[in-house]
Amino acid sequence: MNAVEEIPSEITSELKDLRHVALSEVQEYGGADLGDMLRRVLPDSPDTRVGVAAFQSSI
Amino acid sequence: MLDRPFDRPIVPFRQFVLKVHSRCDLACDHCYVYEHADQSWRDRPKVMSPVTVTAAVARISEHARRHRLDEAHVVLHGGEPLLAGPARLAAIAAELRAGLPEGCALDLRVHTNGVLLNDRFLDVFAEHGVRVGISLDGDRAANDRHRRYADGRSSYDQVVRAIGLLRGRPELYGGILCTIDVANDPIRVYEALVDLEPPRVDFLLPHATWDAPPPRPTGTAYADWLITIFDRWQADGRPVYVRLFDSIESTSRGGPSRTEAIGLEPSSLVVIETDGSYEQVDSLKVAYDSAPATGQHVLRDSLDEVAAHPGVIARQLGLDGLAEQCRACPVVDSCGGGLYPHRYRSGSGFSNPSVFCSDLFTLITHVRDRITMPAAHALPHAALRTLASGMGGAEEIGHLAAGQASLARALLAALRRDAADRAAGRAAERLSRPAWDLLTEIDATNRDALDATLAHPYVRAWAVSCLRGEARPGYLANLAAAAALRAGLDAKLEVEVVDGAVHLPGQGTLTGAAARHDGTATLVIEDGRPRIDDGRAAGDAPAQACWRPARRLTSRGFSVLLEDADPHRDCHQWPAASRLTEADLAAWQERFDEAWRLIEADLPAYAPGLRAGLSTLTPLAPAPPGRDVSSTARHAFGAVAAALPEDPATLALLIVHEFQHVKLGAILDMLDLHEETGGRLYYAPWREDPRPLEGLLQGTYAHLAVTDFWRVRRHAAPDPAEREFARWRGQTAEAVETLAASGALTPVGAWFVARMRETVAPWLEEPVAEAADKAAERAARAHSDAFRR
Repeated sequence: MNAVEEIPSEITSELKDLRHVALSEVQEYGGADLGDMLRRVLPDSPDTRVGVAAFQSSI
Repeated sequence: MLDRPFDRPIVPFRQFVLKVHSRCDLACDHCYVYEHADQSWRDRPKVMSPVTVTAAVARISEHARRHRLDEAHVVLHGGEPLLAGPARLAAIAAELRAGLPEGCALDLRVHTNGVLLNDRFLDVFAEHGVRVGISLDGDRAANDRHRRYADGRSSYDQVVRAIGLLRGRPELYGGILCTIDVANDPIRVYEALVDLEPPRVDFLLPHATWDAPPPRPTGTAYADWLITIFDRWQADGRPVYVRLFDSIESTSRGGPSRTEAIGLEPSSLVVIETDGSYEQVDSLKVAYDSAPATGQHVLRDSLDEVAAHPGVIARQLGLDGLAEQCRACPVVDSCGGGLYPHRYRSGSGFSNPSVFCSDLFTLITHVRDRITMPAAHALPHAALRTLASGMGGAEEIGHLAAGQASLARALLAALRRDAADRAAGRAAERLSRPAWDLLTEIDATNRDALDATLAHPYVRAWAVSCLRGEARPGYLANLAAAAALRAGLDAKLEVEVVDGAVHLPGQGTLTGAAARHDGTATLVIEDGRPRIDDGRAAGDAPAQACWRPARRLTSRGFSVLLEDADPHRDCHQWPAASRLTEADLAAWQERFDEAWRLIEADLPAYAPGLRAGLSTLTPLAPAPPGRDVSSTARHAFGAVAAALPEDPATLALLIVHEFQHVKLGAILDMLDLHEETGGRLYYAPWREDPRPLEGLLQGTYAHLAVTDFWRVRRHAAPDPAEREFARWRGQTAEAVETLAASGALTPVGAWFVARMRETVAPWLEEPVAEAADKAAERAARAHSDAFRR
C-alpha cells in the first residue's frame, strides 16, 4: 500500500495550458509537450515519431 | 576516417535511401550529387539492377526483423529516380512491399525534380502507396536561377505541371523542397510555394563547407532570408507545414527535430547506391571526394555491419560529437551543429561549427523569441481534496474544464498535423484547410465562440476517433461552421453530410441535405442562417434542407443540451436513441425538471458542480424492462447519457452517478492516480466481471455519490433507500480498501483514495434498520459468491 499523508499545495499536470495559445501556434506546438498530452488521453496515439534525424533531401 | 568512438550498441537504421538511378535530366548547378567534391557517380551504373534491388530489399528486411522495426522509411532517390521508368519503379516498390517482415510498416516515398512526372508514374505510385516529393526553388525567376536543363532551358513549367498533377491526386502529394538562394526574393518564393498547396515544405540551406563557403552578401544573409519568410508565415496563420520551422520549435520545447538539418538526434540513415554499395548520408559528397563511402556492399555486408561503421557512428553522438564551441552554445539543443557535411574543414574534419553557424543562431533565436511556452495546468490542493471527497463545485469543475479546453486544442492541432503527415490524411487536408483557416480566424477574433464550440462533448469524441482513423476529418468543417454560427460570422464551407444531415455541433442540424459523391455539401451561413448551397440560381426552387436548432432541457435556471443528433454521440456502452419526437422531448423535459428539483432539494452539494460541468444529456435507446441504462464516455467531458427512466428520482441518481465518472475522467486526464497494473483485475461489487484498477477506481468514485444518494433518500423513500444505502456504503468502503491495498496507486492516487475513505467511513457509523442491513449483507454475499463461481 502506498501511504501519503500530504501532497504539495498545488499538483502540476502534464497538460500544458493551451487556452491562450493561438490555435495557429498550437498547430505546430509539436515537440515533447503535445505528444505527452496526447499520450495521456490516447495511449495509442499516432504521435509515435522516432527521434532520429530525418533525411533532408526528401519530404 | 574516425576510429570507432565508443563501444556502444548500434543504432538501427530506419531510413533507407535507394539510389535507383544515378543520372539526372536536369543540370542544376547547386546539386550536391554532381557539382561538388565527390564525383563517384561517374563510375556507377545508371540504374539499380534487379539483382541489387533484391539484395537491398533482403538487407532491409533482415535489419527490420532483427531490430523489430515497426516502420521503415524508404526513399527512391537519384540522380533523378523517374529516369528508371514506371515499370522498374513499380517492380522496386512491389518488392519492397512484399519483402518487409510482418509488423513493419513501409513508408515509401520518391523524390523527384518532377519534369518526367505523368499519370502513368502516378498510377504506379497510387498502386504501391508511394508519396511524391518535388524539388522547386520558388517562383519562376528563383527556380530558373539554378534548376535548368543542360542546354540552359527552364524546368519551371514542367515542374509546376507535375505539381498540378499531384494536386489532383492529393493522397500522393508529399511536399516541396526548396533550396535557398539569398539572391531570390524570399516573399516571392514563399508565395509561389504556398500557391501550390503543398502539404509540407522545407527550405534547405545550400550545400557548403568551410572549404567552399556559401555566397554570403551579409553576415546572416540566410537567417535574414528565412526570418522574412517565418514572419510572413506566422502572420498568414501558418498556411503550410514548414519542416525547418517546426523542428526549431519542437527542439526548443525539448522535442525531436524532424530533419537532419538541425537537432541532436542520431542519424539512422543509410544510402544504397545503384551499384549496391552502401554510403553514409549522400550530402557528404560536398565535403571531399569519397566522403560518404563505407567500402561496404549489399552483396557482402549486412546493415548491422554498416551501422558499426565509424563514420555512421560519428553522426550519432549528439552533443558529444560536436565542437567545443557548439557544446557551449545556448541554442545547441535546437541547432545540433547543423547539417553534418556543413561542418567540414580540411584539417579539422567535421569538428567545427556549421559554416551556417551565424545564420542558425540568429534564426533559432528569432523563432524562440516568438513562440509561446505555455505553463502547465495545476490543481490546487484544496480543489483536489474536494474532488477526492466525491464533491466539487463550480471552482473545482472549472479547473477540470480548463484542462479539457487545452486538450481540445491539442487534439485539433494533432489532427491538423496528422492530416499533413499522413498519405491518407492528404485528402482530409484538402477538405479541412478552409475549415482550419476559418477556425484560426474565429480563434483570433472571437475565442469565446471557438472555446464554446470545442467544449461540446462529442467534439473530442470525434477528434479522438479521427486520430484513430475511425472517423472522417472532414467534420472539421462542420465544427468551423458551428463556431462561425456562434460567432455571428458569415461563412461558406464544404461540410460533411451524415445520413442526409449536416450537423453543426451544439447548434443544430440541417436535415434533407443532398451529399455529393464525396459525402460533402456546400454550407452557407448568412445573417445567422445556415443553408445548403445546391448551386441553384436565386429565384429557383429553394433547397429542401430544413434547419433544426439544437434543443435544450431546462429547470430552475439550469439548462443542458439535449443531444439527439450529433453523429459522434454514439460512443457510449449502449446505443444512442434516434432523434426524439416532440412527445419524447416533452417526457424528457418533465422528468429532467423533476429530477433537477430533487437534486437541488435533496443533494444540494452536488448541484453547483453539475451546473458548472453537466452540459449535455444524451438519450440512449430504451432499456430492457426492469433495468436502467446510463453511461458516460471518457472522451465526452460534460455529457451524461441515459435511457429515460420511469421516475425522476432514478434520473437524478443516474445523473449524479454518471457525473462522478465525468469528473474522475477529467482528473485522470490531468493526473496519474495509478500505475500500470499489467492487466491485473479486481473484484468490483457492482459488476459481474472483474475490473482493471482504473475501472475499480471509477466505480468506487461513482458509488460515493450513489451511496450518498440513497443515504439522503432514506427519509423520502425508505424502501429501497435504506437497504441500498446499507449495501453500497459497505461495498464502497470495501472497494476503497481494495484500491488502497493494490500497491498500484501513485502517491497522489494514494492520497486521493485516502480522501475517498474519509467520505465513506462516517457513513458506516450511521444507524440503519436491522432488516435493511441484513438484506444488504445477503445481497453483497450473493454477488460475491456468484462472482467467485
